[in-house]
Amino acid sequence: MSGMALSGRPTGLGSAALALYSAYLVTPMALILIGSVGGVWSNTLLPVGLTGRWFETLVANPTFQKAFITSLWVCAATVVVCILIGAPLAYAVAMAKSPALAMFGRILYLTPVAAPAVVLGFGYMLAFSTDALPFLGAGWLTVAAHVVVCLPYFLQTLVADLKLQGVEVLEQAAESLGAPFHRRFLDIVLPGLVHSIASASILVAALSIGEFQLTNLIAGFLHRTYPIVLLQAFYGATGFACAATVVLLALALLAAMAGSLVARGATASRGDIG
Amino acid sequence: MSVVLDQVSFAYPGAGAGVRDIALEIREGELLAVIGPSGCGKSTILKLIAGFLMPQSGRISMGGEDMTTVPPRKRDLGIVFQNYALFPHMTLAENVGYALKLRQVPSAEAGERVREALGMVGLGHLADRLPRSLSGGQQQRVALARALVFRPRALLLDEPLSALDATLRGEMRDEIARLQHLHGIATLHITHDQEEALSMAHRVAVMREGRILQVDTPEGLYARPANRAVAAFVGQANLFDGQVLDAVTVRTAIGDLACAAHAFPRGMAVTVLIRPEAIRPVEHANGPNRFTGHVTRDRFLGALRRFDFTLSSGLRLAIETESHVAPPGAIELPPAAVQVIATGHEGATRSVATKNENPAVSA
Repeated sequence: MSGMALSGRPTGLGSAALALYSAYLVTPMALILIGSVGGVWSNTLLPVGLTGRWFETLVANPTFQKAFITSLWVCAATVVVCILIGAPLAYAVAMAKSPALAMFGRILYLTPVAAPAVVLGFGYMLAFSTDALPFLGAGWLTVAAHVVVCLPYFLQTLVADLKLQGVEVLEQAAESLGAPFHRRFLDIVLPGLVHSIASASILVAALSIGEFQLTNLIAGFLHRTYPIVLLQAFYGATGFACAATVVLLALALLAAMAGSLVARGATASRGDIG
Repeated sequence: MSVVLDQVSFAYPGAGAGVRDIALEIREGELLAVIGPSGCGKSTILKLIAGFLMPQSGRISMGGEDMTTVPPRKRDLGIVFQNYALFPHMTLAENVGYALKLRQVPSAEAGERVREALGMVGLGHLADRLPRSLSGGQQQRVALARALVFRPRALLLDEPLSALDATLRGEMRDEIARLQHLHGIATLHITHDQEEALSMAHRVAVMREGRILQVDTPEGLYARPANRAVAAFVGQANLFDGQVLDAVTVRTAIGDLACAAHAFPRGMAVTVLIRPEAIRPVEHANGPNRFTGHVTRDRFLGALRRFDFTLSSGLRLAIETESHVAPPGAIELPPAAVQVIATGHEGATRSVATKNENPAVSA
């Protein structure tokens, strides 16, 4: 028993593997953090000197300011559209009695695997760069594209929760008590989904903030998001690139922490059922 | 108000399962239990009455009013679900008051009725709690209060005790029976637990393969099963294929049995039923309906004891006794305890006869 104690906790080989994996995960982020406050970093293991000028330069840069704001509103719009479309759609898929609708749900789930972002991007370029549909570069198109990428993850979370809750029986109970459809949806289904909607929204926000491949192909000059302009930073000073990356990293970590807190809240509120 | 199913049939799309030609009446003030093995269609009957399924033929009426196509929300039926189906985000008071809110009952009156309903099930002091903080038995009581607070036309109970432990099940049986009697409401109780059905119901319907085999009082069902399937399903039973020799004798694999067979023509194939508790231990095998053998298995069941008694012929009988004394070496099947049942008039019954080849001990 070299890797695992009887208690099921990792020991020995298991701990070493965990430490290596953690180092692999943390080292790049640590280097970026160090680089963002390092003075000069050229042909050395670590930068020389300590400075805050990279962040000052970043904050003063209008291109990055605009991209940051664009990322935020694209992200917010994506979340809102996902909620508006995703909640009723998840309900329809979870309650689907027709095999066709169930199949549609499964296809939606598989979209990110079956059609990677770069493929979707080429499709958008072909469809929206014509005279008939000259929308390539429009902000709303970026939002629409982000929705396409994020919606499957949003749906997966909600459909799983709906099935876990046994919402069909809850609805039958409400119906037997006299509730018409709209009351059942508003009084029973939606309140039960508050936690999973919050959790899925944070996931969508994290995906949207970091989305690069698809956005890089379809976002115009006026609506470039933060990851797109971040790419440019890598052609300049290393410290500036690191500082710009730290901002994105902070946003992703914030989303992950928020998601974790919401998930914990949901577990705590349901964990003692049964 | 009574609930009547008149020749109701329903088949699930793509599957043979469902119910066929169901004719059943739940009388006003009556608690009618439906029992049967898994997949026999008992829950389908509840769903048809509730309106969650629409019959493909037949008619469902309540108090004389045709409800066959009326949507569930307009049927005014109180339903208690197997897993209670309490709304997890609502307090007990909100759960119980939901039907009143939908009916726009003035808040003062609704509050009073909710308090009364929760008090009736002994949970008035927990009105502001959420369902998840309650035990299974308490949740079941809330579900009952919720189903009764709006004064429904009938009450439907879908295996309401199956999720509870044995002790709590006993308590809740009494509680449900008390509330049903208090409200005098027509009640359909779906269960797979025959003890639950026999102890609670005024009448019991036994189902198999989508059909009702018999509807009778618990005593009638046990004492006078209509066919082999009912005899096998209700209580413990020793079942044998037989042939009528004359008005007082039936030939079976264990021997010729003296019994009342005058209702059947000579030569007719019949089923012989002997309840385990009716078999008497005796000292010797001299006399009619007496056989020698020995105990091959002994099970202690608390108040009684069950023995497997293997006859000299190799056939086996189940014997139950409250005396806890094993048969010494011979048994008697009193003629009055040997029931003769017609065999082969129904497919479902025949399939049981095939399954339980002699000797048969069915529970």
